[in-house]
Parts: sequence; structure tokens; C-alpha cells
Amino acid sequence: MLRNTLRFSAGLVLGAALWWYATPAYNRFLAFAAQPLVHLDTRYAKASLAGRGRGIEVSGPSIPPARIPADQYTASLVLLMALFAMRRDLFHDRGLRSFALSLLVVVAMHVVAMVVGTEATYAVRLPEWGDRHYSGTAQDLWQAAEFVYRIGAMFAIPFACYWVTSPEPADAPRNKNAPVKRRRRR
Amino acid sequence: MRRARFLIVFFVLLALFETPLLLPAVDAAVVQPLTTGIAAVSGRLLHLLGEDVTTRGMSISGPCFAVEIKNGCNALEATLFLVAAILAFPGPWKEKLAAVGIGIVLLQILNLARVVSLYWIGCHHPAAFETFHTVIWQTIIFGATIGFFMLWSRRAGTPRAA
Repeated sequence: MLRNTLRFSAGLVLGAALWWYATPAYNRFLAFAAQPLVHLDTRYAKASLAGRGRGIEVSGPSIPPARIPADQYTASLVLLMALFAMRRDLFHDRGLRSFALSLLVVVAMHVVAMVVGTEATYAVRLPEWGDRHYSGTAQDLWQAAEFVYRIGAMFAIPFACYWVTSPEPADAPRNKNAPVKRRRRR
Repeated sequence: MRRARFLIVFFVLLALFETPLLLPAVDAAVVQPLTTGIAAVSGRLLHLLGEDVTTRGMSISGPCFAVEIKNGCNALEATLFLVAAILAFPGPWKEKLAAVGIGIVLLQILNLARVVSLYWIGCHHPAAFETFHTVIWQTIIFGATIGFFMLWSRRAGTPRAA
């Protein structure tokens, strides 16, 4: 347990440092990746997303400018790194493959979260624009989607990735004193 | 297959538990009283640590810093996360309920440490506040939640000698 706590702490520190310093560059990537998805909503068909520091700025010819606090959607990377730091096979094939796959899933979720964040910002945080362009139900739904992501899904997804790919929870050798089931030979 | 079943049940329960938090009635009846209580206890702990603070509702303020505890800083989301994970895991209900009880207490104690330390950081090292607020403490809280669940699930999944 102590070893796992130390590994988790090391992953946390490393992940936090990486996240902190890489956020501006990562936000530029997120803006690039999320822009085509934001364009699917015709209201934002000409919107331009640009990573600026710790946030992403949205602008366009027919929409008010907005700033999305992108770093608040991406902190799950730190948890992912802290969790995977506990894996003893991290630097072996299986561990590296699992980490790469999980990272891909988490990054994909960040892109989706950016789209949800953009919609929620325009629907709720710019009330004049939101009231004119969104129905009451749509405003509630976008707000709920962003809320659920930020308070639960953001951390549940790295956990799910870790849980699914980890060899420990279901496959670990169990209590040595437990009776061993023997197969009958026919 | 067991893992997939666990994850499906976990995500369904998590959505079921979190969605009511958006309702104003739940906010007024559960979230606000809990958060007010956390602010009051944190204020007393800060007093014990020599900080001159006053608490009012969900906010703690002092001469150098003021902080308002909101959803996300009351450990409610981590608690719901833990409850969903424990209930989704196969096992006897008695053990599940005991784990939920112990987990909630431990998370709230850890959360008090978060609130107190965040006030202290905001007061004495304001430049580091945002990093500790949005990243370090969130990760510690969810790391502890997952750690507690993994320890419990390993015990719960281990057959006992008769």
C-alpha cells in the first residue's frame, strides 16, 4: 500500500507539472481538434477557436467572443498519470499499450468536453445571446452536460480506463489460503 | 465481462446520483447545508491553526484571503463517485454499506484538510492557489476515492477461509 501511495504521489507530481507546463500547447491542439466539431452547429459554422494561455478563445463574424476555461476540462490527465504510475508493468509492452490507449480515450473526451463547454458557455454564460439562440430546455441540457462532465465524468473516465486495462482488480492472485478449485478430469 | 458489467452499472449509478444535484430543491436541501457545515468546521480548524477568519454561510474570509466553498469543493462529487463504485461492485450489502459509511467519513476528513489548506495557500502563497485548487487537491481527492475503493474491492473480492 505504501509503495502504491508513493507511486501515485510521484505520478501526481509529474502529471501536475506536465499538465501545468503543457497546457498552452495542449490548448492549441484542442482548439484545432474541436473546431470542426463546433462547426457542426450551424450557429457557429464560421467560429474560430484559438488556444490562448490556459484557455481557448472563440470568435467569429456573427458571434460574441467568449473564453472557455479549457484547463478546467483537462486536469483529468493528472489523475490518469497518477493512476498509471501505480502499475508495475507501466514500462512493459502491455502497460505502455494500456497507457497509450487510455490517453487516447481521455484526449478524445477533452475534445468532446471542449465542444460541450463552448455550447454551455454560449447557452448560459452569455445570457443575452443564450436567451436569443437557445430554448430553455437546450440551455438546461448544455449546462447539465457540462456539469456532469466536470464533477464526475472527467475523473470517472481515467478511472474506467485504469480499471479496464489494469491486470490487478480481477486477475490478481487472491488469498493464498483460499481453497483451490480443482477441475475434474473426465 | 465482470469488469464491463461493473463499469456499466457504475456509470448508470453515477449519472443517477449526480443529476439531482442540478435541481434547485436538492441544492437547497442537501448541498447548501452540507457546504455550510464544511465551512463552519473548516473555520474552527483555521482558528485552531491561528488564522483570524470568520465564516458566513458557505464562505470563509480573513484579512488576507476569502474563499467560497462551492459544488466540487464539498467532496459530494467524490462521495457519489465512491458510492456508485461500491454499489456497482458485486458483494454482500452489509459490507457495501459499511464501506460507504467509512468512505464518506474519510472523504469528508480529507476534504476538510483540502479546504483548510486551500485557505492557507490562498493567504500565504496566492500564486499557487489555482494549481492546488483545480489540479492537486482534485486529483488527491479522486485518487483517495479510487484508492479506497480498490482496497475495499480487493478485500471484498477475496474469498475468506471458513
